[in-house]
Amino acid sequence: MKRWFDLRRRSAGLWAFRLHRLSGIGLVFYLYLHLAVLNQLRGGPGRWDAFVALARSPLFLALDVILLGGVLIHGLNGLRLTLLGFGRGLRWQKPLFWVGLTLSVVLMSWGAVAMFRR
Amino acid sequence: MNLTFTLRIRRTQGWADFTVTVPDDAYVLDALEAAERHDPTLLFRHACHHASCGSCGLRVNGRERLGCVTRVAEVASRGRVLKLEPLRNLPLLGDLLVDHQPLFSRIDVVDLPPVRVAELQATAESRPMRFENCIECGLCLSACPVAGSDSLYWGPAALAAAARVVAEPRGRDAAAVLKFVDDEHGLWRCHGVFECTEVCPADVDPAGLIMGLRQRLLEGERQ
Amino acid sequence: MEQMEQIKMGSGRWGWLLQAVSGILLVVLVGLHWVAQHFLAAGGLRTYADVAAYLRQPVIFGLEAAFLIVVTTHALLGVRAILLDLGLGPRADHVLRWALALVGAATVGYGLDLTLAVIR
Repeated sequence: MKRWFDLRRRSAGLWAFRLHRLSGIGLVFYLYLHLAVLNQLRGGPGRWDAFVALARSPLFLALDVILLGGVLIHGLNGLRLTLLGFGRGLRWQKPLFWVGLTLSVVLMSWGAVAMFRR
Repeated sequence: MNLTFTLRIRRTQGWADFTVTVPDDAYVLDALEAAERHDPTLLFRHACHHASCGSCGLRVNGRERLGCVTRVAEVASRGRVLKLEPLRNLPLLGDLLVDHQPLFSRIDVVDLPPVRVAELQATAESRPMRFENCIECGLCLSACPVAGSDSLYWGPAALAAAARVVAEPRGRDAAAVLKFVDDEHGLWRCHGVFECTEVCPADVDPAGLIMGLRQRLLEGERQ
Repeated sequence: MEQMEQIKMGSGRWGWLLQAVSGILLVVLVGLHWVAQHFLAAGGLRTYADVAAYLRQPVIFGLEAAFLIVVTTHALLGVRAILLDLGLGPRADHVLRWALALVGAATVGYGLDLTLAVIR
C-alpha cells in the first residue's frame, strides 16, 4: 500500500517550486500592501499611533507570523535555487529543500514566540 | 497467479472502466492490450515493449511511466483501481494517444547525433554502438510544470539534447546550439523543479544537464 | 525551424543573474531591516516620533532605501518570470519590461518621497 503513495507523490523539487511561487506572489502583494499602509504616516502622529494599536492586535501578529514564514521559505529556497542554477549541489537538491523547509518552520516558530511575547 | 483489477482509462469522451485479469507479473501495457480485446477502439501506442523506443509513455496513477516496464503488481492490486491517462503537454490525438511531433521537432533542431563517440573509441576492435540515452518518450515534457503553461518552452528533452551536443559536438556546431538554447524560453525558463529527472526512464538527467549549461553560460566557457 | 526562430527571444542570463543577486542581497537586507526595526529602534517604532527619529539616521535611511530598491527589483523580476512562464513572447515582453520599469521607479519614488515627508 505504501507504494501507492510513492507513485502519487510528486518529488520535493515540485513542492519547492510550488511553495516558492506561492510565497513569491504573496510577498509581492504584501510589499505593495505594506507600502500603501505606510502612507498612514502622512497623517501624522494621530493616524500612525492608531494604526500601531491595530498592528499589535493578535490577528495582525498572526499574519506577521505567516509573513515571516513566507519570507523564510522563499529566501531559503531561493538560496537553494541560486546554488543549483550555478550547477552546484545538484546531488543534494532534495535534502537542501527539506533542510530549508525545516529551518523555515523552526525559525518561524521562534519568531512567533518572540513576537507574541512582546 | 492472476491479478484482477479495474483499469480506469481517461478516454477522449471521459473515464472508462475495464475489469481486467492478467498474470501477476504482467506489465501495464499487457493490461491495456487486455482492455483493447474488450474494446478495439481503444487508442494507445506501443512498439518495442522493452523501454527502447519511447512509444508507450503515459500517466499511471498520475505519474509519468513507460507502460512496458511498469509492473501491474507494483501499481495496482486486487480490487484497486489503476488509473491511466495520456501524457500532458503534447497534443491529444485520442484516448491515451498523444502527438509526439512537437517534441521530435524541438529535438531535431538540436540535431543530436544518436551515437556517442567517446565510448565508441574506447573499444576499437569490436565496434560496439553506444547510443545516447534519450529515447524521446516525452515523460519529462509531461512532468514539467513550465511546459504545461508555456507553449514556447523548449522543454527538458531538447535542452538535454543540446547539452549533449555541447559536451560532445561530433561535427555539430556546439557554439550555435548553445547560443540557440541560451534563450528566455530555452534554458532560462527552467525553475529547477527536477521532475523531468525524476520521471526519466533512461538516465538522461535533463535537469542536471540544464543546470550544467547554465553554469557554463554564467561562468563563461572554460576549455 | 522557422517556428524555432519565431520563438527566439534572447538570453535570459542577466535577468536570472539579477534575480539571484538581488535575492542574496535581500537575505541580508531583510535580516537587517528586521533586526533594526525590532531590536535597534528604541521603543520599537510605536510612535510617530520614534519612526521619524529612526529614519533620520543616515545609516538607517541608506539601509531602508537600499532595501526598497532591491526588493522592488526582485519582486518585479519575479512577476516578469511568472508571466514568461505563461508563454509571453518577445513583443509582449518588450512592453512588459517598460511597464515594470515604470512601476518600479514609481514604487521607489513613492517610498523615498514618503520617507522624506516623515523626516521633515
